[in-house]
Amino acid sequence: MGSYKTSMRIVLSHRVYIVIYLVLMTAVGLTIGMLTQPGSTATFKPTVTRVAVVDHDGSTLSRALASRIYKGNEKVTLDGSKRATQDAIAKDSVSYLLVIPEGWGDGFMAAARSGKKAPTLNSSVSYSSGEGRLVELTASSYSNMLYQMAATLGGSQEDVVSASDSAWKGDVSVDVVKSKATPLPASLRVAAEFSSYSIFASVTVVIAVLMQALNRPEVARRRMASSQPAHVRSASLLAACLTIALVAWIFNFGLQVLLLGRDATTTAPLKLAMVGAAELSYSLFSAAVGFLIGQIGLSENASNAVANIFGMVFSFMGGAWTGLSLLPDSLLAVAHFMPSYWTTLAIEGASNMETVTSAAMGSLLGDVGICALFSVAILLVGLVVGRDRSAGRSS
Amino acid sequence: MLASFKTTVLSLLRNKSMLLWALLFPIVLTCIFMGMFSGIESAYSAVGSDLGIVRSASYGSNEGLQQTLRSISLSTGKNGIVKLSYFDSEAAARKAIADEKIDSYLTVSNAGSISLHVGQRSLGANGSLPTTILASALNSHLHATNAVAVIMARVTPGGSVPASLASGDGVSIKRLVLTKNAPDPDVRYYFSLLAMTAGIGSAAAMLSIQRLQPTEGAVGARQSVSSTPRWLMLVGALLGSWLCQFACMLAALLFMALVARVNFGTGAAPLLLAIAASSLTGCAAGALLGTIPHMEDGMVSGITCLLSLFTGLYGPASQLITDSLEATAPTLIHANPLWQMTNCFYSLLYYDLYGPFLSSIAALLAMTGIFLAIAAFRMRRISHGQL
Repeated sequence: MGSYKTSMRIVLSHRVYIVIYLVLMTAVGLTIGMLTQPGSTATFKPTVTRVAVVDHDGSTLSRALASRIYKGNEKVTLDGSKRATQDAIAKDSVSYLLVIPEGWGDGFMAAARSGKKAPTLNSSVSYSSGEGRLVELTASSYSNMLYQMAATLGGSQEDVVSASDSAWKGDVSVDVVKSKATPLPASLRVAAEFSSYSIFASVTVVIAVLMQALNRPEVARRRMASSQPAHVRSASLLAACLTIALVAWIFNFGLQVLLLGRDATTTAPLKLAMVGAAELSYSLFSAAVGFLIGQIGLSENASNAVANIFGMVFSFMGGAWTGLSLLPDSLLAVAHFMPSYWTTLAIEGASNMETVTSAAMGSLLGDVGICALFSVAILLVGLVVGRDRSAGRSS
Repeated sequence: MLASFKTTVLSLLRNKSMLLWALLFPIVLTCIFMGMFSGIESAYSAVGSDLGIVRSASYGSNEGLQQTLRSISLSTGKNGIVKLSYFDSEAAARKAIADEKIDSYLTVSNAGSISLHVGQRSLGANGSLPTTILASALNSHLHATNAVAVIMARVTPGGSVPASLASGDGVSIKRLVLTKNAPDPDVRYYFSLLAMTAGIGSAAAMLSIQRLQPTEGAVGARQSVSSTPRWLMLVGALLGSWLCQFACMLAALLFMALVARVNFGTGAAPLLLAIAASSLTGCAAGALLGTIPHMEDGMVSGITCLLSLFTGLYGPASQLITDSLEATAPTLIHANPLWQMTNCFYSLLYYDLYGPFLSSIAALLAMTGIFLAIAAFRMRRISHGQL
């Protein structure tokens, strides 16, 4: 018990790491979760796109087109200067930008009367092109309708617009077919997936720092010379590692449940438990890696480097930051060798399960189990490395 | 000064964990990014969904709707967005949703009105975009049908309807690239990574400065009583770590440009200026941290990791938080040196004027000045305290 307490005291004296990796990183993960759309999927809300129309024309036609594009979307006002448009596109603050050239309205009417093509409109679509494509669909179908009306009915620009608006009616109704099981909120899923990095970095670094302190030659010699039996000493170190892993897990998962998933505790307790199990097994895996780093005896800077490099590689390759659907197939094959992949699989699977069946839960539990097996493997490697080193030291 | 410079460079080169961090780390992550981004472009534009269609008499008689669906189907249309499957009853379609086989299904009522029914699981997993696009495509079909009705009602009976009514493509919208280079979602990660390299490299400057402190063991004490002026030693150490850090960033930059084929969109000179300024700011920050007692290099990496979050390194979620912070609290985000470094590369890629680039460089130099001034002030106090 004494050496366990000492271990915890060492950990607490390095609280900068706890603050940076555990508290701050977790806080950011939670903020990101909260920024994600609240994720009520009970009703359908159309995607809102940020759009801007730079209208150099100002005719009735161009204004009608602009207001049609703005409808249901978020209007971003640009002053039309090159710098402003470049800013908007480069920083992705606008997903779709339409530029209406000067004299477009008059040219349009003349072209429609004579059956020629109307003056070209210019657009720019940001790289999140799915949304841009959506607005483009509206822009082209509305402007083509204006053209149809102008070509067939003629009249003034006002007539063309009013005829078009009278045809632009009767939208398809969209309703939601409810799942049998309530899904977990998207915000919780995002925060849970993001927390893989915070858990891994905090647990690994803290354990590595702790073991580095214990392995300092003088300390190690004194520890070896004490009357405490070896198995008690090892058990207390193991208990310290487990405590660190559990604290990181409780801090992350607890705050996620408290801030983002309070409803889910009653509506989807099993799914929530699955997310918790996935995070716990990843936390234990991180503890095993921290133990291994400590056994190898890396310096503080090197263990930080290793923890961060592996933490990021795991989080990226496991799809924790981008979602598994974004991973290309070749990388997905490699990702199977990352424990983070299996936990992300369990988290994604649990959040969007159609019906909670024992078979489905069983397969997710299997994913969590694979991550746990990784920890056992790493722990064994750590034990073997430690035995070799101590054998080498005594000889 | 030359001796301090040389000692600094040599000791940094011999520091293995420093090399691991500053040199290997960006290269490993670049390799990961290369693998990741082979698929990310298509994922950004992934709007497809699986649509079931309930075949009813009213659907069978709606020829226009069938044609619209064929044109947006992945198997027949050029710009396909849906994979179609057919069901004989609504119950069968609902079962397919429950079995996670389709995302949504479509019904046409006896009165002819079209409804889309989307599964809650699909909304949760894919968001509302695929359904919004699908609904929008179907709306276009409805509006076009209405338009024909409006025209037919107004054209006098027996009057001719021009051919353009059927084609309806009198207006074309041309896509322009308004920025200097086309927007690319991948480059952001590489730019943030370069900034992170500068950030973690500051540990090198910190170590070199710490070594000169009288409190840092025998060598430090000897150096503090040497006849060489103290400021010369400090400048030498700073220049030495700047050189090392510049070299590490250059290696990372070259690796990105030559192996990962990242488009930096500009010539070598501004890029060199950008990494020189970034590494200098990193060194200045390191020098400042070096004057803080009990500062460990692990803390530098921790701080860097945290600041990198606000450059958008950790995926779309962290980019979201960076962008929304920039919109709401620009001062806060501009005070992050790593953000300014990222913005240097960003400006070079997207703006055809050098204004934004130079203002970021100026911000970095200003930060360097502030860091160095505080470091020099603290350093003076330390040396006086020892005497």
